[in-house]
Amino acid sequence: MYPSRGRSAPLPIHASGLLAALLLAACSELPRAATQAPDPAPTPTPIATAGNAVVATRAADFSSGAHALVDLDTLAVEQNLAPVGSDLSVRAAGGHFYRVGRLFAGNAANTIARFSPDAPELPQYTYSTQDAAKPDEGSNPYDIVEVAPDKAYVLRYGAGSLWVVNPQAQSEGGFLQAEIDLSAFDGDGVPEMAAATVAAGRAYVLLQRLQFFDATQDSQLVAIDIASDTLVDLDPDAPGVNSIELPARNASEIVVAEGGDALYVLAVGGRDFNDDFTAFTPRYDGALLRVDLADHGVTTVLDDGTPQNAPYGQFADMAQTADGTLWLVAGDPNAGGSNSLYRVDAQAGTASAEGLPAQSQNTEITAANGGPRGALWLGLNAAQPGLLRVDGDTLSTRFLPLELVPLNIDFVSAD
Amino acid sequence: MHIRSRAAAALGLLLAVLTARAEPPVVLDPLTTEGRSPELRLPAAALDLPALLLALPGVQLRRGGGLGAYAEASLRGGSARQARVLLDGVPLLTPGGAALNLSLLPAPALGGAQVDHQHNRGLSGDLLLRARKAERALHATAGQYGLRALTWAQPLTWGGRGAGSLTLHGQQAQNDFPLRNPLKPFDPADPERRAEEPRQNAATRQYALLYRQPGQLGLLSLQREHIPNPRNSRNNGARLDTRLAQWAAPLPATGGQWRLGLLDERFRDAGADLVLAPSDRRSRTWGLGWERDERPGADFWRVDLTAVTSEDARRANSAQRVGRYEAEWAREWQWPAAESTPESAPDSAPGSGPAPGSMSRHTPAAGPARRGASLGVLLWGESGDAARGGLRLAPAAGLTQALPWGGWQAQAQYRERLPTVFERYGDRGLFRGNPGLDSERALSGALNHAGARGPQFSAYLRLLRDAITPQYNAQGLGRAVNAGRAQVWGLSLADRHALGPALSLRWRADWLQARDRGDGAHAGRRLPGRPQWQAHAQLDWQRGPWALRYAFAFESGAYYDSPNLLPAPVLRSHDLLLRWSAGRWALRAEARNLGDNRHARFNGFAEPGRQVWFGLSYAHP
Repeated sequence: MYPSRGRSAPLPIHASGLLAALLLAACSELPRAATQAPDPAPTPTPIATAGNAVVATRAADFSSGAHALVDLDTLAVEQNLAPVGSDLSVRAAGGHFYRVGRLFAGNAANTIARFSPDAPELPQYTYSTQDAAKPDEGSNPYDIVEVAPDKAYVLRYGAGSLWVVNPQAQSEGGFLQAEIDLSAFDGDGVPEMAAATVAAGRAYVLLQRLQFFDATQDSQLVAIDIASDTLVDLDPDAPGVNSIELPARNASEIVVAEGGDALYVLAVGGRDFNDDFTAFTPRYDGALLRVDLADHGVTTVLDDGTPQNAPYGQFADMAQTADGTLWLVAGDPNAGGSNSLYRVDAQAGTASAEGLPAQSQNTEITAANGGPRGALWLGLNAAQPGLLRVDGDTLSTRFLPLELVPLNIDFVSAD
Repeated sequence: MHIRSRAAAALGLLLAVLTARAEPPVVLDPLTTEGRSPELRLPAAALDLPALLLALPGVQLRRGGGLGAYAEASLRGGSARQARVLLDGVPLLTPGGAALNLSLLPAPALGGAQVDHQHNRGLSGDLLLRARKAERALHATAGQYGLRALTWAQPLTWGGRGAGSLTLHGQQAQNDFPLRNPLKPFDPADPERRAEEPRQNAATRQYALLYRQPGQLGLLSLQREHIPNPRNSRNNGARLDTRLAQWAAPLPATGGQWRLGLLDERFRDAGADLVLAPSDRRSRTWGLGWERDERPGADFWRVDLTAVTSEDARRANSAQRVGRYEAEWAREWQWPAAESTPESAPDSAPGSGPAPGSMSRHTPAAGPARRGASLGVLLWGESGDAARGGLRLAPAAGLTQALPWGGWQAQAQYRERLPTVFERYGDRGLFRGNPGLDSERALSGALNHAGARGPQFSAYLRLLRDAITPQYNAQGLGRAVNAGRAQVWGLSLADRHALGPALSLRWRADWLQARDRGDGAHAGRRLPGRPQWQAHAQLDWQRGPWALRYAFAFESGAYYDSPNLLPAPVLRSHDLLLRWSAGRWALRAEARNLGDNRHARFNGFAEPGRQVWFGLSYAHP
């Protein structure tokens, strides 16, 4: 029905209250020079170079957003960096990271900014992802996948084409290198490219194929040959350039399985309003899937069940830690956003929360990713939002409070 | 034209020198006490009500763009939902109990404005608007960015019962003022995106009728507002259509007044240009009420029935109906007992009689009371599709005590604000209902000085409990909860001076601290949208057929967001109004925001920079 996760601005209460709410929530920032963190913003402190977690964050009421940096050795936190609107994600690549300004990121909307962890409050550049020929289109970049120091793919969720960019471009004019047209994969011309990963010389891109944010059809997976920036035909027996049809809807996460011979895809499924419009009702047409890279066969690792029998609730997020363990975040979307962490046994097709830390159960987990040293990092939204680092071996935890709610987490390696 | 703000300020000082020997003598607005601000007289043919209200102490305003765009007023750091707006004593109908859009009101039909912090029923105060006196006049205005306005006012007399008036008003504005759009695509010729472009899809159009007879008030307002989006899309089709109809008349058998109203709103965004999904949402709020006059020592009674329907036309079975009923009793005592008198509006026409509601509790007592107390209780309940049964009580109490030194008064008050229907039952969209939501409660205290002459001063403190605040989960679903606590305190100062026989100055200055005192991560931060500092000065000069007004507005220290990461830019606005009269005719020229200050009170929704308006008025004898 709507995007799988809450990256929207607060929405209207009624028509003119709607307007008031919308205006209140309208997220943009001042010109960069004026957006220094106000009193009592934290004073940036030097971060060690052993590697960092970078976290996209948003205010509890979506009225602003920023990013935070965590020193993985000392766990020192710099937060509320370069504040803008609330619709953000971050993506690390080597020793730097990108901040992706999505549709409701205020003055950072529809932009990619690149940062160094040495100066995380000041972008090295901020480049637009808008097509000059389509100024009204909200390109809504979702992710940037760096495949070489001078080449990256920008997933443009609100547009029909994926951008091939030079992330080392010294000026905005040199940023866009080429476009790859994916519009044919959705009837409305906008296939909602939501996530991507790189394996075996190809970039695999998930297409949600929504209709006005409603998951009315199955998602698909396309592959791009990185050397030639062309689409790979994933079904040579059929005419044309073909994608992989996924037996689930609203696919939102993709990782390369340990060993590199397969992909795991998480599809969260669609949802409807319930009868009295007080909550969403999941349709339970999502799944955790495995895509074999040799024959492109798709198997269901874990099904999210049915409205009558959903053992885990609606799937929300997925992560993989360094030892190859898959983790699932799922829960009842009507229970105040509460969800839980599960460890997935992909071979057995089961998931279990047994023995997992209590802090990861029946809470609102807003982000998950596997970090260095086998740790699993979770973003939590509670009265005190923050990050929960779970040791992959001992399952011991460490909570790092943040002022803003984590949106996603990635890891910047030490140079 | 390139007039810097300092030049505009200097002009005001120059006027003071030039007019030292001018005549006739300045007549200052009358001061009132009893917890009210001095009345702000609104100039004839004025179009921009929100900008005019900035001259009132304790008033904060927010607006979403140029003339006719959504605008709301809040008082002393409260939310706009905590302030009631009354026209000639008649509470104006709002959508489901939410804030009033000031742009629905025909500004040329209004003659005065005041803020009431003592006899108020709004949690943070009442904004009292007064209709303009009966006069026969025609005003035409045209200006930059597609402004066109026409107002026709006609006195009405029936059966010698006194004068009434009828005002018809229409206005439209393209609001295509220039702005810098940092979100536009990369252009090799303008890589920094410095070139300005016109604001897109910001046009407004309004037609209004205000009918006023002794004891009666009729208001009809039709408005269409196109709503721009932050990336300034040209093909954006989002718009809001609002229809407001309200009628108030005496009900002689009861010694009170009844009122009937309908507010119909429809928000359309077929292309999802503004919100995440295509929208076609409609809500109707029906109001039927009766209230009996309140005077010190007498009982005040009020009964209101409100029905709210809302639906998303794009979804089947989305219609929702909720009825709310309220019954209120209140009583006010004063010592020594004082007789109340009908309010005599400064520009009421002789024989026109009191305005509707002016015989009500809003009438200040004649002569200052040494001590006052008020007590009230509101019984309310709901019925309808999703409404939960049961009755609830919302008590109210107030105390005032004159202090032994002249003009000073201490005041304490307890009030509650009922949750709006949409807060309790959702909007049929992504904002869910919370039927268990209860009132938010406020305990307020103030130390006021409001003598017959001299500055009006107020130091106030308000503690808010169970504040109704929206919360959003990871799926973007919003829901209002009684979660917040807030603390608001501030200082408010206002005065008027006769600087010479033809020159007067009116000013206000406010310092405000509104802080989140809840248990959340933003505790201690300032509440968004509240400027810490506000100032407004208005210099009026008149000599012969010429009249000149210079107004300066200043706001700083506001944030757009709850974590206080996004500071709003400082507002410095200089306006000049020049008027030349010749018999029945008058010409006006208005230069607004001379310093071309770029400002946005709602983040991403710019207000206009410099603009010029011209007007022509004809007044019948």
